Amino acid sequence: MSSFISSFRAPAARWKRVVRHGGFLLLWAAAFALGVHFLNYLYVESSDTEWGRILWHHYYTRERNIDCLYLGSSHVYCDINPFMMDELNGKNNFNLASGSQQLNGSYYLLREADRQNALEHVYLEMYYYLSTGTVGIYSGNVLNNQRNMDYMRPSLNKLQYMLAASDPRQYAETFFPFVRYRSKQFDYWYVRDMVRHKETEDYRNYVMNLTDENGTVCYPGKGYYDTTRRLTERALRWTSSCYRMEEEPLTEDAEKYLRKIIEYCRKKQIGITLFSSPVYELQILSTEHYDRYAEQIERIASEYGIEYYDFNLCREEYLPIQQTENFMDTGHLNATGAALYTPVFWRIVSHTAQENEAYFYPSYAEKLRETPPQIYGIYLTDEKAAGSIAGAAAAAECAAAVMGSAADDGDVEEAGRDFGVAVYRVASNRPQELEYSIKLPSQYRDFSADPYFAVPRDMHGTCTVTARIRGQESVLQTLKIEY
Amino acid sequence: MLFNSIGFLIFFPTVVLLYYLLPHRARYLWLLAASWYFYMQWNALYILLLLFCTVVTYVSGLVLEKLKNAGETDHGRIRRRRVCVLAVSLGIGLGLLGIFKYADFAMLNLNRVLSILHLQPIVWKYSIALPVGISFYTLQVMGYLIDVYRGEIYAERNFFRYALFLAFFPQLVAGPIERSRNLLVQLYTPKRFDWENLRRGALLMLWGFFLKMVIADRAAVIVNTVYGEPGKYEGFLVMAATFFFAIQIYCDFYGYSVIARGAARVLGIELTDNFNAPYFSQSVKEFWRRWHISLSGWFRDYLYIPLGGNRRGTLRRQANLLVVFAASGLWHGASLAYVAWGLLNGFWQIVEELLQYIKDTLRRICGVGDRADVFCGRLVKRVITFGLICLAWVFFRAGDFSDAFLMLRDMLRFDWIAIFDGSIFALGVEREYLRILCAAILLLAYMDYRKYKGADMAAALLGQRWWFRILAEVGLLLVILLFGCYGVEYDTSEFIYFQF
Repeated sequence: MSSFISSFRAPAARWKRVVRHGGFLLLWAAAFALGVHFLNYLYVESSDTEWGRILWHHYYTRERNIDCLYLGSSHVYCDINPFMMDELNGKNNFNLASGSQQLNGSYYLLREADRQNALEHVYLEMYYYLSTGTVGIYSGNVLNNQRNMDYMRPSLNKLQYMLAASDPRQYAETFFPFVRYRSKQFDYWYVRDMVRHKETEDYRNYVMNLTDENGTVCYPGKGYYDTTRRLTERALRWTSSCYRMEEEPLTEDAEKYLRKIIEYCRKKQIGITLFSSPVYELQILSTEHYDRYAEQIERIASEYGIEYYDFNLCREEYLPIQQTENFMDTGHLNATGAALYTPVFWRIVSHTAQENEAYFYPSYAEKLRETPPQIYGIYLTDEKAAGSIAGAAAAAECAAAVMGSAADDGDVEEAGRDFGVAVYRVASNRPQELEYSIKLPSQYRDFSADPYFAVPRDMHGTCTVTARIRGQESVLQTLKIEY
Repeated sequence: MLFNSIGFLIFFPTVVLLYYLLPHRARYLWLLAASWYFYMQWNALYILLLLFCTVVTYVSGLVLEKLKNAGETDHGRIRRRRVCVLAVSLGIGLGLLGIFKYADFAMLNLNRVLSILHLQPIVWKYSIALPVGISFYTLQVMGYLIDVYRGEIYAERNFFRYALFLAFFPQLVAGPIERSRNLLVQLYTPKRFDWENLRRGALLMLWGFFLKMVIADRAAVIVNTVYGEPGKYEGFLVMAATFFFAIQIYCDFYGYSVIARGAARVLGIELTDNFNAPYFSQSVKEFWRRWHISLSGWFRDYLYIPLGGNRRGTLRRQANLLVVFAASGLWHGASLAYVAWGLLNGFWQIVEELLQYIKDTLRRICGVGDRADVFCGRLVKRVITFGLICLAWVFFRAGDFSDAFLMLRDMLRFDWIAIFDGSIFALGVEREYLRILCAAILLLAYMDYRKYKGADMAAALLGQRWWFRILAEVGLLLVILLFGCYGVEYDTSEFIYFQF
């Protein structure tokens, strides 16, 4: 018999020792937990984790079983009003959504919710940005998951989430949140501000109440982000996003967890519907091949016999959402938008795919074709373009060179990378039919089929983009855009 | 698998738990399997090398003992055969080391000679990755074989226990270089689970992590900045970088050794303490009695004494000293700069001896006592010794002669303003972190001073009241979490001595 076991099968004196040492270990662990808690209190940025803190508090203190669960990114908590949904479907709806929630996060949150509720239906949002490109490689984007976990109650599911969602080298940051803020450890003013904020009544009572010149934000409960903020003019016509879709754009990680979520729901006999919330048109156009993504999700959904609704393809007559007053920014609806979107969402998900066919365009390309020719704004085509700028003049020359020599996308990106130039593209629904005149503070280009133009990366101003149908003299549209 | 990796934090408790759950008879097998697994985390293929070395030396040990007990009357013949077996087995060990560590170096120097002689250089296209720990375990087996040959120990008959002696994971990759008299014997002794071992071992490991992650890896940033661009920095900054390198290499290697000792202690095994407050030495000779003790001991017993040691006159002793230190330098790395580092350390000791002789003679003539043994005298001696050691470290860190001389030249271009103008904060470590680093070094200095005075700091802490122990241990762990270098943004986490 080994000594380890035999030490527990010993006379009273030895038991005493075991209790003494065990007690010491427990006290040790408690002191360590206290130390970590104290450091978290000092260092963890409250605004970073505020949503998670309030959300989990309301989740754990809910009074009723959750029937319908909404998972996904901030689009879900802004776009779907669960109070309205309660009235529409007569169930208890809850948004367990969080900022940039990736599908691995959704999977573990689903398990958490399923542990404590008899779920009837899960609505999983499929925001393309979080499942494609480098953001869709989960090991490289752990922070949002870490914020999700911080206020989850300890459980085996949480431990699995922590281990699965982070790279082993990030475990310290995952298990001890203050480690993420080590760069602030000598910043007295930061610590003072954190402590002051954490001592406020609102913070202690899990109240979110923000007011600024753009509007108000409050948290009414059920994971809903109620805001009156409105899309600014600049954000409307300009985006730095560049999520160009490749063939089969869904990353391996995203596909793996999407399948896991669907299979989990099947196993637990929970209904599941996939959906994409509407975002402002310019964002979708910046992906350049949005249909590649939508088609891949559709394929996976039909493989499992579940439904996928992309509200970016919803016809204008059923969902007239593309107005600035409905959006908080180019990705999120405000309370007005949510009030418009939520009933349509319920109308769609409560009917069969066949019944909903008329509501949607078959593809995004089809939607663009059916929309009258227009330009939407400009977007940065190469966000990686970096490097030292030898000087504004050199960069301007370089920009002129780029404009003169851009033969295809590859050249444009390469030039951007090499010379620190921001390369923009005019977003339109008919790039083949339109030609553009671009006026910058220091340059002017008359109508040309080339939708690209370049500016030195650190120079900002206003450009005027004018479009006309090729071969026609009359101007179709003119936009003044801040870049 | 590094000690300061998440993998080890999972691996080690698993090994310990199963170790104590298994019956004693099976424990060494479990430890052996764990040790081989641990080694295979670097390069699974190199386990074959370790196995080859194990088999060859195990058989050689048995043959050496069998020949000794063969009962033949021709002692000369037996001796010749035993010498032959020993030579072959040592040759295999040295051959492995030669192939994997020195082949490139040998070819480089051979080609240099050939080019001086205007001969065609030999084309050498092979680049062999150095197996981790090969320098340590080859010395360990060579020591074992020599001990068996000398009849100081019996050859180990249990192959697996012998394999564990060679592969015991806490000390496999960077020592301490254990003697069979210490380690092998302990592998036979049944171990009961002991809270005391657990507490002491865990405390040692915590201290080791502090040395490695808070001091060594932070100091490494300054060292790498300055030594990464020889010729760029001057005077004070080069001196500061050299000082921090002295601290870095000490904390890196001492940290590893302490973690190794702590891990072994948890398993009920006591490893050699490799360091004993070396930077408090008052002479280079004393430094080498306190620095990398297991290696110094190995060279003393298996090279210095067989060469004649102190027994053949002053000149021969000094020559032996130089040979031993040159060999020690070469053991550290296949570069002439390491040899120079070793020779410099030997040379300092010869000069010290000479100065001591002159001093003793003058004192005898003048009839005065030793006045150096006062606080100031000891302090001056320590400062001079530290300075000499640092000077030698320049060769060690630079890695080649040209860079080392460049750094020494830069050191002489001293600019007083650099001390005050804050340029040290531009070496990659922010002002606050530098303060933390200095505070940690002061703590280390205090602990080392107590150790130098013979205090056992671990025992002293463990003897305190429970709340004080909790406060100290939890505090140390939180300090590591707050100020340690780890995570995705740091790449200085490999232990320096792994490369040897």
